[in-house]
Amino acid sequence: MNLFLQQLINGLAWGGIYALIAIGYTMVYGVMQLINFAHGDVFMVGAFVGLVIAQLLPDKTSPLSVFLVFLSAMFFSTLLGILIERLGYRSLWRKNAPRLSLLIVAVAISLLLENSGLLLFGAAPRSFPEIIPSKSYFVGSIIFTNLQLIIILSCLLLMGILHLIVMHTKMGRAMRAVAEDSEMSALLGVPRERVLSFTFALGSALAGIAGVMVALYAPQINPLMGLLPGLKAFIAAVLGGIGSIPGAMVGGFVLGEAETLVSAYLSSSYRDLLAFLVLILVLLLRPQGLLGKGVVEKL
Amino acid sequence: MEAPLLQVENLTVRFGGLVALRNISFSLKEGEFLGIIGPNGAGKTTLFNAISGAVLPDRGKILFQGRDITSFPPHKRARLGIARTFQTLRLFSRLSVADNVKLAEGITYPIYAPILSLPSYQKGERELEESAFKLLKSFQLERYWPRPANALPYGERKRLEIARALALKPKLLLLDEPTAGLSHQEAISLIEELHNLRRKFSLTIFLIEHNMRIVMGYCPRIIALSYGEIIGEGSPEEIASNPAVIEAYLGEKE
Repeated sequence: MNLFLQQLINGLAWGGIYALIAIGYTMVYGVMQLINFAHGDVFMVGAFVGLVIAQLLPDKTSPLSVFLVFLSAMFFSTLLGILIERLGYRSLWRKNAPRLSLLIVAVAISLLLENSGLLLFGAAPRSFPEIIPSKSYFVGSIIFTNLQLIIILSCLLLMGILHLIVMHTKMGRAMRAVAEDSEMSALLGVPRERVLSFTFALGSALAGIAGVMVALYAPQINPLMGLLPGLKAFIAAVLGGIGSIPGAMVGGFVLGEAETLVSAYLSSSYRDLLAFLVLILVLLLRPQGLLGKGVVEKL
Repeated sequence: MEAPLLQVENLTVRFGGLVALRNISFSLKEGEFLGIIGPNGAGKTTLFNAISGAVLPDRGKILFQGRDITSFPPHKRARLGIARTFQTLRLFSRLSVADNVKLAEGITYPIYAPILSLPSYQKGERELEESAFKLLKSFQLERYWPRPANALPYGERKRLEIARALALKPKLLLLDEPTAGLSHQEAISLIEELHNLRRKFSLTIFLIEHNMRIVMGYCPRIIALSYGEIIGEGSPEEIASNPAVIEAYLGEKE
């Protein structure tokens, strides 16, 4: 029983991280019907920006440094997200290009970012400085670290802020409207391109933060680190129902927990297998995902 | 003579080999209630799409308040004051009734404002709330405020769609068969309501309508479209006695 609880706590941190990345996938899919496969690499860029900034700072472990590392990772990944949308997708989107063309561009951007990373930083993994000195806490016989706590709490906080933005601001309202009926929202005066930019910015900011979280948690980073978490977050988004933000949150936590439990009780080599098995099963049995709405054909 | 609100000049729209609209020219004066009729596939909806910006014309010009808007994207035209409704309901069914209306009011503050909860943002949001409430109240829809739009009965959803279009504070309202799916009684009362709204909001209305009794009874001027061309234009009497119109409608008598 204690082992089980322990694993649940370990899984929460990964779940939160998957959820943060998955939100970006699902929001972009919502407004653009595009699986932005470059999203996992935005997450990687967030981690590397964090690394560079952390190395520059003299007093790495002060709260201000930690804040600066997260802030700069968030800032640059937001910028990158906006650039990707502007330069990669917008002209195609304007021309109403087939979704496949956009998807090909997504893969191209992903490869571009990964290989630029390899060029700049090399393939060897780099260790991330320990900007948050590790502390462990015991509750009974269950251990959890301050890092896990920070990750889980910040994930929840960020999701709360996201909820406020999406449900209670004009931009959020516009995002929901574009997701439901893009053409109609334009006819009601919604500047769709600004909404797309904003959506990429928001999703990328979360991915950048998730990048630093993983860098702290793992704690090694390399230019291809975005690949697997990116795919898994995508799976989490599909599991929750692509296009649904609460779905992405639920999907992220479910996948994080499931992976941790599989590693604990079966074998850690089944961890990655599980995610893809989940993807296949969801697509076979419940393609709309846990919280997704059935596909409604527009008349 | 004052300039027309909307002027369409030699408008041609092609879809591949099909000519949906051929050389259409007409104008709409401010305050007018213009009806457009024509058999199915005549190009009425395409004309609305071209005016609202969903379709770009192959040739011709569209002027709104004397300004050339031919290449404007849809949201800019909406902001200038062109609103449209569709034949089928196009409400945001997952958004609340209030959000459906508020949406049309637009984004005017910088995107970081809501995060910092700036006073200007809060003030704007309050004003928005009030104007949305007033508008819904004038349609007796305010009691549905927090409900998702698809929870409303059909007739109410139709009226919500018109209320939402009015939230844009439009000068020109394009209505694509607003009475479709309504009983004759409901249709008449909707048209009466539109008449009142036109006066109250000094609107210009351009209406696609299949119900001949309604078009003939309420629109002082009518355009008849067939195979993408204007085949008749004038008062209901002139339209009713126009041989080309009668021919186009033969076998499709109301």
